[in-house]
Amino acid sequence: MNILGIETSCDETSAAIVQDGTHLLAQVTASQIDLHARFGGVVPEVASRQHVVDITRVVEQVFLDANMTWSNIDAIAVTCGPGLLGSLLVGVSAAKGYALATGKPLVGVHHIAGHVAAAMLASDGGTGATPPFLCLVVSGGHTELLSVDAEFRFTRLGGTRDDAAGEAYDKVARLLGLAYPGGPKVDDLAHRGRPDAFLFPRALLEDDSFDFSFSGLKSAVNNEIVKRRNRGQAVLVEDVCASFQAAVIEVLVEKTKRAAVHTGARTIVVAGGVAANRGLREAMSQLAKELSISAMFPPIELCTDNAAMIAAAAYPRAKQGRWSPLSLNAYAQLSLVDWQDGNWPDVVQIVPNL
Amino acid sequence: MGVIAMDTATDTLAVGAGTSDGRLLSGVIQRVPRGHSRLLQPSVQFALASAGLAMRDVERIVTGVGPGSYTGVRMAVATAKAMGHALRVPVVAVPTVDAMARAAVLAETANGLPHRIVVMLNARRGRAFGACYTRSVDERFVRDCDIQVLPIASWLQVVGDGEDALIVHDLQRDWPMPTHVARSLTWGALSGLMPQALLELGKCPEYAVYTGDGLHALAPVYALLVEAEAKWQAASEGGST
Ligand SMILES: [Zn+2]
Repeated sequence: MNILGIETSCDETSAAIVQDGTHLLAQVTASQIDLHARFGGVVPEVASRQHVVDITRVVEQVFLDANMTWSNIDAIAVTCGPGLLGSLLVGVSAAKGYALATGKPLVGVHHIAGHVAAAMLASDGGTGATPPFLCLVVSGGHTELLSVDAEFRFTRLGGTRDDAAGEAYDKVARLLGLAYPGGPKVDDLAHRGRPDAFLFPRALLEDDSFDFSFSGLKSAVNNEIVKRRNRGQAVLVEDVCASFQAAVIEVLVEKTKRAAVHTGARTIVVAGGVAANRGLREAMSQLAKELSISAMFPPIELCTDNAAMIAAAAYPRAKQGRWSPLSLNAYAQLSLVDWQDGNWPDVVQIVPNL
Repeated sequence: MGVIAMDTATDTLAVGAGTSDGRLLSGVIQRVPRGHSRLLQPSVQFALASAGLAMRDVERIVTGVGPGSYTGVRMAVATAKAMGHALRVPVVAVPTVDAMARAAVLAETANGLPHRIVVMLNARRGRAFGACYTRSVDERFVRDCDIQVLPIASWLQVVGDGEDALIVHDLQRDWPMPTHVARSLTWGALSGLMPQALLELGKCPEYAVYTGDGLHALAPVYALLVEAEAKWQAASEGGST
């Protein structure tokens, strides 16, 4: 089964064709990083405008790259939330236009389910992760611990109570004056600094909680920088990055460890933009070794937002014929559980009064 | 052979299915707040089926391209682009305000047509997207200004003294209309004619037709810079002088 995936939830316009949920045949992504760099972050209206221009172009190119036509496509998958509403609506509108014109069935996909499914795609000649597994999703917008069963159904174990881990990376990058997008630069600089130069707090919350909190850590980094600058002391950027990253990773690893023990998981999957972080990959591999289980990561290029992961996440539903109607909407906020159960926030159930 | 027309830039979702020569066979109008996204494609499907047309009969798509509600206008344009792309048929871009003026002409023909039509669509903060149209000798209305955003007060001044003008608007509160204006009609009273207006304008040669690889370039008419872009431009101009 070949699924055309479309993803426009933030600032990448992406289309991909994935076979049987595991084999990426072609992917084309138009990145808007340069467009937003001058604003120091993603401007939603600018992003939405660019998506309209790029959307049919990336679909055209992905068919050329895969050497396919619509006759080779069995279903269309599109991110319907969460994300920037204006951006999501471009992808959803286009996907519905394609579905209507071609008669192909449609699957609305939750963005986080997509990040998880990125780890299920085969890469480097090997196979991807096969559920059930425990999954840590870490990105600019999300930090969540999920238990994923054999049917690709999710149980949320915990998540961030304030900043997402990736958001903390971006904020620290800004404090240090690193150019947007700064998160990956923190990872690079961390490898050249001393992780024990500063002792930043590790918020582990209650013993039985799988939740995260990173806002205190960000404040501690800010206070340290301000304190040193006020005293006229130099702030060694590499040391701040290394110490900050050590604190983030220690918390992520500790919570994942607790969840792995609690659920008896045999596999840990780390997904999302921050899963490209080298420090996190090393620490999670180490944890897996310690627990005698396996750790799996999506290929680096599939950690950031992309359409292949959306097509992959749609496959288990497509296999069961669980299609979305042409009235599919886009949602800035959408819980994984509501998506899973088909409880759309704005769909009025009309119950006949018999 | 059939044509599909759609517009999502105003509070009215308008969809039409008709013939190549601009005759409306089936029109769908829905004024559901925040409903455009859910209802657009099902409405297109319904209009086609009602008109007895199959998807393979569609030989042209007409889309309103704004200006209007930012998020709204993109739904029709993105949908029309995708459909045009998949079906390999041309997409005609009609400014939403032009179609609104055409809807007014369709409604007012029986009452006697005015000399001028001024269209205003709420752009918030006392401003409106708009355009002006003057009746020509052959009874057609020709746009005689750029589609732009102006303070509502300025649009009302544009309606010159003593002119026999018709104002079409979707403004929420009552603005004092110039006393000499023949009529002012709310968009809500006219929007039922939008599907037919779009179909008629969609066959006019003055509108851009996007086809083949050129289709990718089709984008809405926003008529307003993004605030962040305006600030950035002002800042970079200030820095360079
Ligand atoms: Zn993401």
